Amino acid sequence: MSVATPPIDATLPRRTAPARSRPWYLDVWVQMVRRKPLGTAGGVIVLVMLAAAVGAEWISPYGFAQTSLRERFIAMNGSHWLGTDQLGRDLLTRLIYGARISLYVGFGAVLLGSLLATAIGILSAYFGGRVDMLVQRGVDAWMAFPPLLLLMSIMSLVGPSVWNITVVLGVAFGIQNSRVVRGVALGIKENTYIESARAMGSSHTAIAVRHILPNTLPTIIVVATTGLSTVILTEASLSFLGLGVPPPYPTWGGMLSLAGLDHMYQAPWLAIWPAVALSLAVFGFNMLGDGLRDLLDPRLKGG
Amino acid sequence: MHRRLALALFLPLVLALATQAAEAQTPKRGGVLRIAEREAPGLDPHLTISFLSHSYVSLTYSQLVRFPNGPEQKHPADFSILPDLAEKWTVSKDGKVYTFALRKGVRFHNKPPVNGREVTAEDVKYSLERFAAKSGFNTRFEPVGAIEAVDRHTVRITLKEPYAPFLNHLANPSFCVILPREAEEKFKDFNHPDAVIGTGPFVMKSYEKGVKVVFERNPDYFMKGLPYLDGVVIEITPDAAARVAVLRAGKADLPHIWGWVSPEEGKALQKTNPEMVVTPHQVIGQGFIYMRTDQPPFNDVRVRRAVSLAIDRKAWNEALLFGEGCVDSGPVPCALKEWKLDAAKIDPARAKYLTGYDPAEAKKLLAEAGQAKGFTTPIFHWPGYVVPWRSYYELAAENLGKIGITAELKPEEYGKYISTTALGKYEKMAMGPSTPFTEVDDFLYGRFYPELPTNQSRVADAELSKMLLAQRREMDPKKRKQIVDDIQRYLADKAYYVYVPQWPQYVAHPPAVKGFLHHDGYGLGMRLVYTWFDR
Amino acid sequence: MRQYILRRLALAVPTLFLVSVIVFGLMRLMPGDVATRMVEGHGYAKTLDALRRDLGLDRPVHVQYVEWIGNIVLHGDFGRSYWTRQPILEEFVRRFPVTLELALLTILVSVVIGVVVGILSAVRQDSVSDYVGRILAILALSIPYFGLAVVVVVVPSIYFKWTPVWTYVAFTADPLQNLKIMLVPALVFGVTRAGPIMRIMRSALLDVLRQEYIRTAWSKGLSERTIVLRHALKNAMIPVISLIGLQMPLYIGGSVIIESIFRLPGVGLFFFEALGKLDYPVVQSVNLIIAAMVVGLNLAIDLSYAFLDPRIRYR
Repeated sequence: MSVATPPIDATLPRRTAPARSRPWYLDVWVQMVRRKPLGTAGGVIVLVMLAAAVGAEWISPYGFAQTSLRERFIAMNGSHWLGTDQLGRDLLTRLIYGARISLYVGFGAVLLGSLLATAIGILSAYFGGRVDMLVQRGVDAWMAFPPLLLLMSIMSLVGPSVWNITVVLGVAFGIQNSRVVRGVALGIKENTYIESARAMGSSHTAIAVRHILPNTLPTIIVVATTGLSTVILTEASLSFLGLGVPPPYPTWGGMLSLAGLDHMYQAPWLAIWPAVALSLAVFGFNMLGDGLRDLLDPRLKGG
Repeated sequence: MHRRLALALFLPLVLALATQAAEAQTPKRGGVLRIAEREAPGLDPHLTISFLSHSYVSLTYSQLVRFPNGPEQKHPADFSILPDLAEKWTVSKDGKVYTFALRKGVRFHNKPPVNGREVTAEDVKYSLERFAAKSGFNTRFEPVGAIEAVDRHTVRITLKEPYAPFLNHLANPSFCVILPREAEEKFKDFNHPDAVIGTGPFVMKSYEKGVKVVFERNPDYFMKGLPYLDGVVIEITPDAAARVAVLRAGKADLPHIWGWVSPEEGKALQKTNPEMVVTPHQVIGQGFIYMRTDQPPFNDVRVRRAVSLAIDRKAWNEALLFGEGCVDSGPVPCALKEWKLDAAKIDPARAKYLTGYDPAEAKKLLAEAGQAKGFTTPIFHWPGYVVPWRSYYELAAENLGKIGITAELKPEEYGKYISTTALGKYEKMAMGPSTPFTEVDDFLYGRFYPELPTNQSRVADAELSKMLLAQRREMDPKKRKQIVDDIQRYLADKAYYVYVPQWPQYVAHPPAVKGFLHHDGYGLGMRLVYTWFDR
Repeated sequence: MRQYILRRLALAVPTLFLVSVIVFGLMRLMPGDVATRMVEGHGYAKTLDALRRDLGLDRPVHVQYVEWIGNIVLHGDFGRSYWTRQPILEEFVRRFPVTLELALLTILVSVVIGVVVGILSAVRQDSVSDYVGRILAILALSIPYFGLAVVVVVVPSIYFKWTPVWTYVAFTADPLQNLKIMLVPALVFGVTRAGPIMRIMRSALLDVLRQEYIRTAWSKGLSERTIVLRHALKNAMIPVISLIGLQMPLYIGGSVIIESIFRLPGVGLFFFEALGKLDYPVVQSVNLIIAAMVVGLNLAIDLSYAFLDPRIRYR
């Protein structure tokens, strides 16, 4: 079915609509449910996972380290809906707790990274000149490394733990995405109202916080939600290499790459369920991010 | 008359059957064996202690003496000493002077710069001195005083004191291979593939890094008629799953340098490829929980006994090892039959601290030791060891939890683990497998004598140390066995180390591969000498 | 233009310098030391000291650094591996074509899939094809490629007694066999990388299609196909190309697992194994070479922008 008319962007906000004084960060969700079914689906998935992560203790049927050597490798039965692993631990329970840790690491890293990316990006763009050149050379140097090397070296250095992984992934994420933020901030900087603010005597901090930051926020949000999936997958890769979260704490990546691959012949479900959970999480966050970006971008252009 | 007729009819039948049986057993010459394995980190046998490196080059080098292989061996842990480059040898009455008579006319491989010249006593002297100077294993030569080339075919080694393990160490392909000096002079060391020139059954023909290593039969090998194989190719395959996959797909004949697959893979192979030959072997491996016995709380033997009684070895064995593992695995491993004193033969009141399971008594012991409320301990380990170990750590933590000891698992990166924890530099408790050794001395003296890096539990027991030195110096094997038995009885209730079940190693290969017998020594070359293809 | 190139090249030098310092430092900070690793705890102090002296590790750190960099800059000598004692540059040159070929084929696969699906998705925005396309793209990128690779190698071996793992043959030796060997790993890696490309393509194309000059083309009555393919695509490709450029290190580093599973003797595996063995010279030198390539590549990409969008100004 080909489109006979110019592809009018149906997501441009209609200025003729009656002004409903809803702030943009609430309005987005209303628009999401109304116009972006995939984004809504993504949002629902994310909510369910967050709920599971937070309420793990209440909804899990067992403890995540509770072994039962007589019940190893059960595929699926009444008392173990998703089966058991090589030590007889309930898979559903471990998936639920896995949500908590994977999301903890994911959110933590992305939060840290977003803060870092914003700080670096805005700093670099706003001050320009020497500062920009110096900072960008540092960013360039970092980005010239194969990411696996950096992560592996640093993780080997500091040792695997939930906190260390979160910080390392966060810093990596932050540095990489500082470029994007910098790009947006540069664009904003060119605007004349910034110059007039300077002329009126506003301090650098005030300008940065009051004018540049709010306009970069939508970009950051979108980058963050899509970045979340990358972080979760990277944590999975690190666990695959043995540099992830230490046992017995379950993470989806660890479950997939260690128990899953070790017992692939005997118990393929040990790999399948964590992979499904991983895929769903990545899918959910990306759809959510897409929806947000579709809705927020024109606002950026229009604003 | 009838008897003669019967014989006339019977005899040809018997003869025909006998010949057929004999034919089925006669090894055929020919064929190239393909092995899927990771790349060796280097080729110089003295500059690295990686078993991969040693196995690779064991195809190309010989030693003074060696272990039996193939039809020569009585069982996989048969560490008798057979002649290799040395035809015969004598040991002086005081056990300090060894004189070796070399075979005559043995030649190095025909590759420059050695070009197939004869091996002499000077080569032996050079090689053993290089070992003593450069190898990470050179502590095994500590008692060696002087090595002399008495004449072209006689080598005399003088020791500082009698040293029972000496011949075993000389026979171990990890250490004492005989190398040609010219190769080192040309290539600076023996890492370059062109420098790999020896007297072994195979010649290294080419080495495509990251792809494959090609060996060909040595036409001048001094064991006549051997090897049967035309050649061997090591197909470098870094990933474990891929190695088993190529075995299944018929693209490799061995999925590992020694044909090993894990117990689970072995069982799976038996189901998916019933024609594949999969044989379990008890190996001289050993693994344990080790503790700082020089500090509280583990300096108290009652606490250590409690730890040992908390470990449900039988359940681990049945659940994780299909019941095929060996529960009584220390201090001498099950497979070292010549030296092992079974726990069943030790006074049960003491043996229970070696293999028993009794959480109730464990709790009582803790209370007696003043730890009624339990305590917390880390368990340092490297999480990358093969599969049963990954489960072992978590099970150990759980078992200890049941008697009130809160164990926190502390995984460490490999470099850190083997350079600190595995050398005894850790706090409180750690856990892991140990290097398999071929000499019982390493499991006893190495493990329990004070100040040695392999004494991971920091044991310092004066009475024990006396016994350890005694067995080391006792040249009469029967008397030595008595001392070793006494040591095992002594150690039974001390729980310096808490041993965990040792699993059998499965060797897998297609049915056409014959004569490939597992041996617990590290070499591969001599195993392949007797290997042949039936097709 | 020329000034821009010269300035960018000049800026590459401090970047590479920084890279060399970082990688040198990181290696020295890693726990354990290579001498102990070589003897795996069996050696005593004497052996370890001798080994360290042999490897030149007993000298002060800054001397080692200067020697390493000096050798590279003055003699083009990238040093020798601590373990195999063989020259690194030789090994690198032998292995690099493998990784490069894998990277190129992977990019080809991911671009073809990503661009096609991205265009369809953008042009049919919010239609069923869009949804299907986006769902597929996300699914593709959420499957861990290492899991997929293992499954692809193991499952056929169980059910069909066949596996896609082969002995590597160089392209120059036998191009047909070489491509057969590279096909499966490139597909596995490429499919999972197609996701981000598809999404960038879609969003970039959507952006471009809203631009003024596109509306002008519409009003002129040009067909949809001409507009999309001839006018919009050129500009929409810019972010896609920059994404590929940004992700180049990923192809070099991320190829490790693929190279390991499919037996490809590439740089990724060389690097990863050296890292595990604390083979300082290999890690340092390989990293530096790759970083130099990445910097060069990014420069080339920046220059290509001029080609694709004459509106870009250089300051």
